[in-house]
Amino acid sequence: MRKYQLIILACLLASQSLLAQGLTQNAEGQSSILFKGNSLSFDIGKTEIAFGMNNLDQIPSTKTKKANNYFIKGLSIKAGSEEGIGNLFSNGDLVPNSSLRVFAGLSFSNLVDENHNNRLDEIKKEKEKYQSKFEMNLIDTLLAIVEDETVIVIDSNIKKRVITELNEHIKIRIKSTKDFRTFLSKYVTNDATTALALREIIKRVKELEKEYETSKEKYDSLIELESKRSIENPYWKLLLFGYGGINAMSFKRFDSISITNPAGSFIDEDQRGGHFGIGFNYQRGRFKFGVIYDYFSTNNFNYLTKKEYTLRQTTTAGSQSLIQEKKVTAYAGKFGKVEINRLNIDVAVAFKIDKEANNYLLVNPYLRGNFYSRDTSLIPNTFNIGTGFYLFKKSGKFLGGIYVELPDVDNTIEKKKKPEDQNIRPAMKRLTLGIVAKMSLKSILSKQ
Amino acid sequence: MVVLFHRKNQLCMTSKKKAIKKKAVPKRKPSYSRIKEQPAIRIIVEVVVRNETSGDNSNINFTGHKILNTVADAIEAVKPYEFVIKIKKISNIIIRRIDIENATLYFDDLKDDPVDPTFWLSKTSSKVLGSTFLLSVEATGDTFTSTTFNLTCDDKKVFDTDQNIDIKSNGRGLYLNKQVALP
Repeated sequence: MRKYQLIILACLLASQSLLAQGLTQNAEGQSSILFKGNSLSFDIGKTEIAFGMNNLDQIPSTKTKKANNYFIKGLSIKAGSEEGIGNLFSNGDLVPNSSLRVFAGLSFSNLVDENHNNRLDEIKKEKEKYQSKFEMNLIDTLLAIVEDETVIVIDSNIKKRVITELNEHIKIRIKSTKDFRTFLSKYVTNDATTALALREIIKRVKELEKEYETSKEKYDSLIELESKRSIENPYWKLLLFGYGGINAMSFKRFDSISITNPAGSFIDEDQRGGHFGIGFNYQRGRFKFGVIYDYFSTNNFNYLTKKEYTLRQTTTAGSQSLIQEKKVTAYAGKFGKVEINRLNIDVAVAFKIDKEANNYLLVNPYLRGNFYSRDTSLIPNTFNIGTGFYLFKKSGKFLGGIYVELPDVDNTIEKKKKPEDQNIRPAMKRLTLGIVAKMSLKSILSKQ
Repeated sequence: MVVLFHRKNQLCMTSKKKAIKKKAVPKRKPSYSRIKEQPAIRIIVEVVVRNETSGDNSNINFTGHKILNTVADAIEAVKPYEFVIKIKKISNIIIRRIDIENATLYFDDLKDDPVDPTFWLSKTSSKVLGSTFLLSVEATGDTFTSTTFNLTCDDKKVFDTDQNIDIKSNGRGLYLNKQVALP
């Protein structure tokens, strides 16, 4: 049943339009950098579906400094199979793996410069003062222009009608000098003197408009200057957070051969674990830096050996015998729960890759380390290093990404094996190259 | 009720009982240099309120005052334009501030477009006295990302093609046009 639910979810994902967001991910799908908004991802390589939502983009009003410092919270849920995509869609036993993670913390940034807002508001106030003065004179001035220029209209009836109509527009409907000019240019008349008067009025309104625009320009230039000055200040953001979570996994483990009941050689393991830790993210301009450090209660599933077993059951009745075969995927090896500490470090740097900056590349070197293992025979202290390369369109659409990883940099795992089983190879020969495909759904919550 | 308009030297209201002097229109001197000196134009609103049923005129002052203000407002103010800005949502871009002539919008003024929630939508109004207006959009976000927007003014499209806001290498972006032509 769980298998079908995963398949349906995967199909739903494939039908959604792509809305990419920044991401960094290593081979294990871990990152120490928090990303905004809500996302649902499907990692082809890992047969993993993840859903995350947070309030990193739900910023208080940018009118005040409140938007610079605010409380952040979020959660992510991950479900997948340790067996890989093939087994998810085959008849083999599914090995589900799920986790729930929540985080909460504080966000600090220089998103809003209140002084900049105040300076702009002051300039705009001055501009409005000038505009109010102009507006107060505008109607009288236009009425005067109409009266002035319609002197040349010979027919007194036409003159009266024209003045009435123009004055009515000025007093009741006028929105701007341009609006009045448009009204005048559309005014239909057969009288030559009226047409001439209208042309003269348009001319004078244009001059009035020019005078106004020139005076307004000095305020707009101040606004431009202030805005340009403001964006020279690089944007930075610091997130400090604590997080924790639980994870669960089920799999079949081969214990030892049971002579009386071979089917009993397998144990259905149902493991629960948890973690909690602290972290910070710092962003400045094109650079992002993230660190998390946590305590993790887990097991050594990743170090078990996956094996395929065939369980044969023979039923004999007289001269006939019925043989039933069942394939069992199970994990063999010394198994146990263990507590470790983890350290993840990420750096992400954006690079322009074409002159117009239509696309950009996010380069993400990272480190994943396990330290202070309480039982190094189950989980040794190791660390992996790697680099991800992710290509984005400037619209934010994710085009694709790869990562290169060097697992267990100092060969701790191999060194722990018996000398005859050791396979210690140089770093370059142990590099892992992977493709990351991450699809983000449209926002489920508001804003983004 | 009778509302009469006259050109006189004061703005006043009269009732059956008495005439009440209301606020005087500020003196206006046309700044336009080519306009010849001429007597200032004044508008008089004369309001006559009759209470036909009871003959009680106790509320005349209040009613008359209200009508007077409404009428005065309706006739002498330049009408504002209605603006609607529509911005494409990009998950790592925050719109910090939008200035449309005298109106200002902030991030929390942007709402989901009910037609297409991949866009933000915001409405505002501002007077534009001449033929152009200032438009400024300040944004912050991930370096080298970009979003687009368009604007309508009284339901008319301001730009034929969507305008870009590009986030530069320092994480800031600005669209600024001091002279956007009224459509």
